[in-house]
Amino acid sequence: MSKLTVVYLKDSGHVLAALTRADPPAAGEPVGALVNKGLPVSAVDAVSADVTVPVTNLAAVTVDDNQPDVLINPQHFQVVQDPSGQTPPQVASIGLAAGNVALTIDTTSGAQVVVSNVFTAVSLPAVVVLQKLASPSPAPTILDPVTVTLASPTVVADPAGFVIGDTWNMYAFVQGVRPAASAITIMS
Amino acid sequence: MTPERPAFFEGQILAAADLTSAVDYGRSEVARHERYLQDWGVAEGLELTTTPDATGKYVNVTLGAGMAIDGTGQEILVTTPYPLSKADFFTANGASPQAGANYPILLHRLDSAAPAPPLTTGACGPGGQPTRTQEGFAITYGGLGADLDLDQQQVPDVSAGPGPVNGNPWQVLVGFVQWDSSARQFTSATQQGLRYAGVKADTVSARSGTLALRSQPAATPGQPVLVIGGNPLGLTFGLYQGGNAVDARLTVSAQGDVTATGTIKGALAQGEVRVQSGIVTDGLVIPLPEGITQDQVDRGAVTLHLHVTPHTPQSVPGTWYVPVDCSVDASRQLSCQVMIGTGSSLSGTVKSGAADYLIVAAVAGATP
Repeated sequence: MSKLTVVYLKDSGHVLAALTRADPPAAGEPVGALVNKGLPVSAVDAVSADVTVPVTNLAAVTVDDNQPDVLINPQHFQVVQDPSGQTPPQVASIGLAAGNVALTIDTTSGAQVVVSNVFTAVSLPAVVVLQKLASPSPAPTILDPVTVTLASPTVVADPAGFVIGDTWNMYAFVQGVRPAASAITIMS
Repeated sequence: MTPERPAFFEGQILAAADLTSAVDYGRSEVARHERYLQDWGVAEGLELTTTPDATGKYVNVTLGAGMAIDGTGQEILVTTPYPLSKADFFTANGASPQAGANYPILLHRLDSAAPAPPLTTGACGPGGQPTRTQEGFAITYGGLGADLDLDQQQVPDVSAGPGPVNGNPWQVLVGFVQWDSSARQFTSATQQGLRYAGVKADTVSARSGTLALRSQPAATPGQPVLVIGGNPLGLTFGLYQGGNAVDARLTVSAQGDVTATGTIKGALAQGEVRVQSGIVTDGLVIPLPEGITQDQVDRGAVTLHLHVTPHTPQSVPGTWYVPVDCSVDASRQLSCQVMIGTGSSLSGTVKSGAADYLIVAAVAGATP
């Protein structure tokens, strides 16, 4: 039986890419062997994104190949770790849609993430990526992992650097929620 | 010191030293043989066994009969089962050893004068001398880690006979015990990590034409054996079946033909081809077939042939799917974009896709 290897964000568990093969290395492999220096991501949700996620933010795990949808929509899956470490990590679908995550940027509050309609926790770890739309396209900024408080805005980047009229792509990988993305033109 | 062999002549008056030298000469010769042609350790028996005590919570530990050879070349013989002493353990290791830790049990040779039998000539009075030496043993209840430097014990000079160097007896590990310090009782015993006696030899030869090397004293079915010689001549690795027969798993014939019943992994043969296939999503590096390394590719020892095809997902009624890009770069990193649309609209959403891949690695020549 072939095996499924997924590459995922270490801090949130979101699967970003996957592959199948018959003979994965028995001793495992460094994630760098699968992505070189980083994994190029061309779209998050329905928003185009040319983001290269550095290898240091990634991890890989190999499981049985019994979920073919992972290869069609890898971003709809996450890696779930056993807190006790007694069972190997599992690849599971993410039930919560990206619509549960609101992304905003303004010159007063900066970049904010609001997660709603999640009842299983009071806060969740998240990774946020900001990418200014300009020509030539600057490198995206992958912010340090944050903890998002549910139902209230969490500031992930202060207002400095945001200018009215600029357009930013903002991507949020909130643990347990499908990746959210938005192209935001700063109005105020 | 040059060894001296006692010599006698008719009419010689034999002193005790003459007779003792005759015994010592033989002992020294045997000791040097054991020291330089054998490897010290447990030779037979000396098993640690446990039996529950009256409470059922703790155990009594007994060292079984057996023999070891120490690094000075002398035997250490335990002739009858010997119960380990809780009092001696407590004396040696104090009141608060670590719970769950393995404390080594060490065995060494201890010679002592045998009590003279009654009515022996010369046994009475202050000038009485023993006429025998008992070749006994003693147990040391070692502290944590006392087993770690047993290989560093001092070996006697080449001309020396058996026995301690500088008064330090040679210790042989026979097992470990665990201790409950509050109850002052043994809780378990183990013999993992023992050193067993061996042989030092640069040539091992068989007289029957077949030399067997096995991992247990007896030819036990299911256990591995390496056989050199036999009929037909060759080298065979296999597992014992009943009646000393060997189920061969790997053979090398006298002509150099290699036959294996399993899979040979590792080194690559000239002209060998290895294949990997599967499905991979956008952005990932196509993995190399098993046993192929990037270093071999970089050195040109392996040539890669790579084929990718857009992986068409199961169709959903009302949607359409068009590949936009499906290619790999020099580092085998996949770029795969697809457009997905609905209905009769000619525009759709471009998103990351997946590709079926087939990678073939052909070995160009013998690899080091």
